[in-house]
Amino acid sequence: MKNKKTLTPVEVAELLDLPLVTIQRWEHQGKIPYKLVRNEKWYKKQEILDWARLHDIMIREEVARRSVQSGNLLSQAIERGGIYYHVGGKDIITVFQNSLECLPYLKNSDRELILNALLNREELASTAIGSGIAIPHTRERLDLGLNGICIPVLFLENPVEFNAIDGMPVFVLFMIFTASTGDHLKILSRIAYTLKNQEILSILSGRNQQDNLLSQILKIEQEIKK
Amino acid sequence: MNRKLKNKYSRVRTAVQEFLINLDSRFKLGIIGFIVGITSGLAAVALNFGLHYFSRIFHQDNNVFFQFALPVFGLLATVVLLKYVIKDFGGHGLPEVIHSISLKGGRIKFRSSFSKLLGSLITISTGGSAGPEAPVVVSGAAIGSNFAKLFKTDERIRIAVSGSGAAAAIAAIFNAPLAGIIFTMEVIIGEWTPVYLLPVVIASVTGTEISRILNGNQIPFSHRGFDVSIVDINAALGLVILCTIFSLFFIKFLRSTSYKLEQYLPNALWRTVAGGIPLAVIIYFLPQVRGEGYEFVEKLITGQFHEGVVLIALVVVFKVVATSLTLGSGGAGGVFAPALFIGSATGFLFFSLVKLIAPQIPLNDSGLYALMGMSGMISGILNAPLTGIFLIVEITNGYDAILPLLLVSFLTPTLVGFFEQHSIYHYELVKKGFLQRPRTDGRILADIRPIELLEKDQISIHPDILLKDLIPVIKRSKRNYYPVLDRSEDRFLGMVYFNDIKEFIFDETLSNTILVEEVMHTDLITVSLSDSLPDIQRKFDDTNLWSLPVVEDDKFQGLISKATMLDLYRKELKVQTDS
Repeated sequence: MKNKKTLTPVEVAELLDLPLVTIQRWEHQGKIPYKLVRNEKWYKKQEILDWARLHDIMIREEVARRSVQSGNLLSQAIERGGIYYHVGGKDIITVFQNSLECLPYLKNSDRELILNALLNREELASTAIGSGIAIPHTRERLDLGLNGICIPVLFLENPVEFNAIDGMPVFVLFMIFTASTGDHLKILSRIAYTLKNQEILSILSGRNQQDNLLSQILKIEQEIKK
Repeated sequence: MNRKLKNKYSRVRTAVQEFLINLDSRFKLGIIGFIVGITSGLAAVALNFGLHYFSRIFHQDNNVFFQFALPVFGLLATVVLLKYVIKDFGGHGLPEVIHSISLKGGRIKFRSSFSKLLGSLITISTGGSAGPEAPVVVSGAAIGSNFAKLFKTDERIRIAVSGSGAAAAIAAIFNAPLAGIIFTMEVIIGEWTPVYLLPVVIASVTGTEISRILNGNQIPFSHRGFDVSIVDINAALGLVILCTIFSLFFIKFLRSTSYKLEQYLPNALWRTVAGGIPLAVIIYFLPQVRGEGYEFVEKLITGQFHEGVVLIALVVVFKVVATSLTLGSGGAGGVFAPALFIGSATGFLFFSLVKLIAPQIPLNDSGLYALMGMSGMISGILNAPLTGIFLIVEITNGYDAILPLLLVSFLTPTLVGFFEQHSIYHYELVKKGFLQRPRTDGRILADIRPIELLEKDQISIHPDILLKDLIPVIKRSKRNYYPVLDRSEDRFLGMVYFNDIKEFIFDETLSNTILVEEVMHTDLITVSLSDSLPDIQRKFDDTNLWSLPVVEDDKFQGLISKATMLDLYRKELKVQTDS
């Protein structure tokens, strides 16, 4: 639809996020501009866009642009965040410090703030969700100037005690950086779903196959979509 | 051969349609306004000519019996023609035009383009007291509407074109282009926007020019110019009171006459006879009230009437009675000319009364008061002050009386408004809910059809499942209410609201024992797709719910929610504001 210059009534209905019957009524009442070609109604896309702007009617593409594509949410976030191995540290504080050091896209001025926010959240309740995995995140959403959701995956050199529900020491962190609560909720549910998958768990613990992690998560996410 | 011709015709028609629809809308409106102006102007001139011609023939014979029987037979002929031959409605017909423009997208029957013309020709030329303006407006609007229909234009254009027909009609009758435009915008369309103004102005100019070509550029009531003094401006305030009284008298008497006649005499022909006989008596003894009465108006304006207070008072009262009888008993014609007549007589009456009671007050001229009275009466009866002013200024060709005219035309409808909120044209429509002005709540609700609000993305459930089986449904669903359908026939049984069941669903024992049918609401108010939106709105108000199930023949169709309604309502409002 992007490159087309003319639209059918159905496409206009989709574009304006309105029922087709409303578009047909507007045609009939003369409220929306169209052309008649061989007894069929056609719309010029540019004309419709101008008309919508004039009447302050939202266009679906704009609506869509505002919310994140929920397709391969997690794999994209991990791709953005990056996967890091052999992160050193003997307790939560040093692990976090070293982790944040790894991430090149964080501004130096932000690191201190993020560290405190992460520790603050851990004090309240552990983010270790069992099976040696933790999902550290901050209580409030921080706008770090990142381009979308960002989830760095950090494998630790030595497992660290995290007060997990199952008591197991944590060996991998999925740090979550999001700017909006909506995204945060979506990504949480996606992580919870993905990390239940046995194959993922075995990839995470079996260190030699860790390169497959991203492709495996992508596979799971694409299955959800179906 | 015939078929070939037909094919060719339809191809040409499609090509013309395509060409017209794809034209720039402003250009298109201009062209259509021009064509409608010509046809509507011709209709006006034709009726005017017919009226003069037949009046002369009918009133040559001075036989008493003939003169007495003429109005009755004229009315009967009108009723038979309109009701039984052409099968159109009686009365003045303007409310129907306004209704069609307000709610029916400007659709007017083709037969209306000539039925009223013929009817009023008979009624008025045989002596019935009514005006030719409304019939010409109706036929002008009908010509416009059917022209638009022929080319399958959309509703907005059809409304504009119907309005243009009306404007051209008034403009051509009175040789008054501005009055035509203003009458159409103020009374008929009710919205001053460029889309409507453009064709209306063009049609009005065209209609006036047609009438000038055929009739010459005559000013209907040319006068000799007035030197308005401050005394006259003050006296205008007194005239306002008299105009208000007679406006109210006219409005109420006209309404109750037709109402009573209809109530007591359901048969149309008997009603005509019962109304026609007293009318004939009145006309016999007071021939001034006969027909459209413009000759008498002219006499008043030019100061050729000298018969005194009593006669003029009788003329005012009996013109109201005669007009009410004519229209109430099925005659065709409008109240425009009678209003002008009564107005001029009221003005003259006021002048005579003041002269009688306080002869020392230096009032200007009886003609000036006749003009002011006309303006006040048109404004008061039609609730259209601008029409009142511009019509009088144009048909008398003078701005010198503008100050008292302004006062009378704006104060009279204000005073009338204390007792009567709607104009003579709008009253019936408002009562039936047929008058919806653009950009009002009622108009927007009338435009949106319930099917446009139908939401179908609910997940329906069956009554015999356990609450715990509802959990996957809740996870999948975007909504927190679930329609319950019969397992075999898809019959709608009720609704389950998440709010009601949340305490059960989180309790393992309860969610394993309780069935959906035990927690569903069955005593629900449902709506149908054939309900009007105001009805649905009322159900929302009554139930205080945010969404109502739509059920058609026991089948669940979906839900209509207040939120969706607000969303579409706002978009509709934005679209109604003109481009």
